[in-house]
Amino acid sequence: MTDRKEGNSSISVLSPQKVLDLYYLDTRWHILEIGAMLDRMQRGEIAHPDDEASRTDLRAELLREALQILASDSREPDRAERLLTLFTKLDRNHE
Amino acid sequence: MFIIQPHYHAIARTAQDYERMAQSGVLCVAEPAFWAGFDRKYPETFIDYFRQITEFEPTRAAQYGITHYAWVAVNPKEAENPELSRMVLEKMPEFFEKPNVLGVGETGLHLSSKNECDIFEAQVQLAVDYDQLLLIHTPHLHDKLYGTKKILEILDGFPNLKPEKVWIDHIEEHTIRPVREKGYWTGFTLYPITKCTATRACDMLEMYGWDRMLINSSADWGPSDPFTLQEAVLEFRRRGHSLQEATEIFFNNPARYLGQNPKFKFKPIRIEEER
Repeated sequence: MTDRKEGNSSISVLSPQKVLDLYYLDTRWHILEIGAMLDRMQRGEIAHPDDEASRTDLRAELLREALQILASDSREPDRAERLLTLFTKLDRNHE
Repeated sequence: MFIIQPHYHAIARTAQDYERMAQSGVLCVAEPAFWAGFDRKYPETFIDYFRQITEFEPTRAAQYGITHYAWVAVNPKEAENPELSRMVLEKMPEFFEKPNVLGVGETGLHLSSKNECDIFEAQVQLAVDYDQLLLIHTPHLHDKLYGTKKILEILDGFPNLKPEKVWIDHIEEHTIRPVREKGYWTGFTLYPITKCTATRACDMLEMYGWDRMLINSSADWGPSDPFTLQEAVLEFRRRGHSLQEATEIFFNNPARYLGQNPKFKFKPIRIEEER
């Protein structure tokens, strides 16, 4: 089986197997970093029980929503777009 | 800030590393014997390799004011050739006499096969018999958990082995607890993608403290970067930890561990005044 085929446009794309071959380790690394960051937040919450600010911080909520986007099935390959759209909620001009 | 780089494969690196390390506070490197990227066929090839890291590399490092130490061992990948491995093991005691050799390393496991386990055990015995420090490599990625448990099981069979002389390297979050419980030195290897990162290493330092902890960047012939060590110093300091605390981890701990071999000349240092 060839590694590349034409996708929706006339430009060829990698096979899913090839994507795994090329990006599995990178993605594993990124996921570990995310897990470690969430652990760091949790340890901080335990050590600083009076820190109310983080509980209402929009960024924490956005990260939780972003993880749901990552875990969800998607009909279209549009996760990156949906994530970026989500993060625009931090933009002061966002309505 | 002064730094000791306790796990550095100089043979695979250029002089520019030495120059930049010297410019950024590294006073000393320790070079374990490792896999060269291909399996060697002859015991003599190992012997020449040991000569290179015990005779030539110290002269190269010295040009940049860096003191170079070394370890000798048969790595787990090449332990799959037991006949060759045993011939090399016979020669290793000669290298223990060299002025810059600190012990047996890096031995350990890769796929945890029977041959690997046999040759690892033989090298643990060698370290015990010759009262050498022992640096142990734990497997990569998905093989790490089983391999680390297996290593600990094998070490349990050596009642005369002193835990304070043993450094188990490439530890991550899922393997740290049993190593700490046994009292061995714990090593974090900062390595792009496949091992530990500066942020996660700092997390584990905060969770477990830094008694018997060693941080290294394991610079080798693959995608690796000796300056991940400085990255870890920066990450640790930006979290608000003091210069003395950073010095404990990145200089004093390796000085304490490696200093168990009297050939190692660097002693722990104390910052007189923090600003």
